[in-house]
Amino acid sequence: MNTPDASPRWAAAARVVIEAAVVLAAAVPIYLLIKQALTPDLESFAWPPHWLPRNITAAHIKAIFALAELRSALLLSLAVAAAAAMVASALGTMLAYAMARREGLRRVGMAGLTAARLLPMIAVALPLTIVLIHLGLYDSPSGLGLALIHAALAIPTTALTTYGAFAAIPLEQEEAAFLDGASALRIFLAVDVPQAKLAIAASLVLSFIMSWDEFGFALLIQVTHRTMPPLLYYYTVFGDVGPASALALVMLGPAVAVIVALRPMLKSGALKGIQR
Amino acid sequence: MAELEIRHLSRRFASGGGVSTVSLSVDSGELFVLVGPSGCGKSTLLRLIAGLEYPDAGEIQIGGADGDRRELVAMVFQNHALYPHMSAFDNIAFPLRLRRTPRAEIERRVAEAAALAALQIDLGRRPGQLSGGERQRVALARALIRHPRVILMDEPLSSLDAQLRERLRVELKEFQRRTQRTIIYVTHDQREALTLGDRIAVMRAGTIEQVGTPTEVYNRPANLFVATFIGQPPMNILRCRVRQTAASTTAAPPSAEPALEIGDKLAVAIPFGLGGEVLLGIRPEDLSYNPGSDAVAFEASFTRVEFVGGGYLAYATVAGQEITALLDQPVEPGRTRWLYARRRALHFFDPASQRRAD
Repeated sequence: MNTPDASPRWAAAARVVIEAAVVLAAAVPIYLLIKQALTPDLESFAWPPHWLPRNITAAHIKAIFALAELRSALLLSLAVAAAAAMVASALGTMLAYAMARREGLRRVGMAGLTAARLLPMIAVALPLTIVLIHLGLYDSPSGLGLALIHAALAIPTTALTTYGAFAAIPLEQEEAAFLDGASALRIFLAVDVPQAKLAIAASLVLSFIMSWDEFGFALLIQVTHRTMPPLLYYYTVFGDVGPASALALVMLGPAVAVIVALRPMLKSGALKGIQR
Repeated sequence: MAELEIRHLSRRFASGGGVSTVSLSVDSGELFVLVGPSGCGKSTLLRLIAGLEYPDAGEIQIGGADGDRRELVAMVFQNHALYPHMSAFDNIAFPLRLRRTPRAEIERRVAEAAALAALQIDLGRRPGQLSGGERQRVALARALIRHPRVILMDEPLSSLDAQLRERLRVELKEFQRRTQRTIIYVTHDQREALTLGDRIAVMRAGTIEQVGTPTEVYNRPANLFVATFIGQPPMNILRCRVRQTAASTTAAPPSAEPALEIGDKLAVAIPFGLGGEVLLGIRPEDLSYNPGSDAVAFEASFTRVEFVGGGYLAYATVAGQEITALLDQPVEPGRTRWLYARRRALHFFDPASQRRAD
């Protein structure tokens, strides 16, 4: 019974308890959110708390879908996130490729990307807002200003995600392509990008979610033409708990869908690139 | 007529290695082999010819023209360097697709190149689904499809298992003989160099030590390095003292016992004037139990004998120096016997310059 692999009974039990605790900690808030969206407000504030719903109602859901702003906020969030993801991936991928092929640039690049991640957003928020005002991109209906900021915020992530994939491609393949007569751009597009497909897709997804969830700059910059996170914040503070919860669920929807779609990629280890 | 001319080519790397003032001339239709130990610069030289590296000094001329190097050469890499996400067909067609060749012609030329490379697989397969040998054939087809003037090969067989390597080597030699292509082949395996090359260049530390046919390099190595690098097991090198006698100058290993000097069996007439020490080289395969005619005798005390399939590798000492001999009969370790080598099979080297002395 005392083999190296067999764990004692109490360790197995402890593992079950810990796993249950972790799952509960993640699941309970979501459950409460769903419950709050589907039950009257009075119930949500009841004391002692009702853990199980007593009255299911669709009133909150109807209320938020009646909001005209919901549709425009959803579309704006979608547009901004899509634009930010594409720009961040395109630029980050090219940066990662350059870093993978030049040792000097790799050192400088890693240092710069790490510094960018460590930068407190508060410090640049006001100056960036002023720049956008000068450019006429402040509070734009298209969300272009916000999309550009989100793209900049996401580049460290996209670059670091794709770096590993490019570094793993043997130089000999590029040399062979060069001898075959390919230009540098052709080599990048025909030899490197197809092999980094998975990492590039992962970077698109990650930067999309980062933009979708982003609150600080969205609140600051898109004051009248709002994206989903500031809208949710407004309803959480000034509105009722029921509609706010329903709104939160609407926001969660795409994120959960994306993560579910992401699972096969996580399994195949495509996201390992982030570690470098 | 020279297909490839290299004049005083130099390329030094900060991390060491490279080539120094290398000059070479390769004829059209020749299978020219660059051979040497790791780090000797043979791959660098090949890459300079390919245009993957730029020289610090010197020049390279192919076919007497000065056009875009990439049009004139093609390369087969050690690890085939195929594009893993493309089918074999797309890999081979890649150079043509870059040049926007029409589809019908692409198909024709891919089939042609595949036939030349004796490729008998479904070209729709990807490299990951092919065996090592098939991959190298695809790489060869990709190199051939552009009809280059010179084909460069960087140790293309070294990642394959021994049996496959032998087979492909024979095929390659046949292919070259048939098609009369100019091929420059890099390897670290001296046996491969001897069997493949029309001419070989032995390199060390960035310079060419000797250029010649395999027979020349084997029978008349220009210096000590070439003598010991070419030939397996390596040539035995004995330090000998030169003694002047009335009749001629003779060489004998120092501290030779009086018994060895019986008659003048060990004394070898050296047809040149030298003082002091000389290095005597004898290949293990040139030693035998039979005196034959015109042979020199060595008294050998055997320490170890190994069976190597088709012969015996015997370790012995002659006048205190260790030698190896490839013999057809075994001998008991501890025994002492006479070994003979023909005078013609002896090589003499000057210890100071390490060059051939005759």
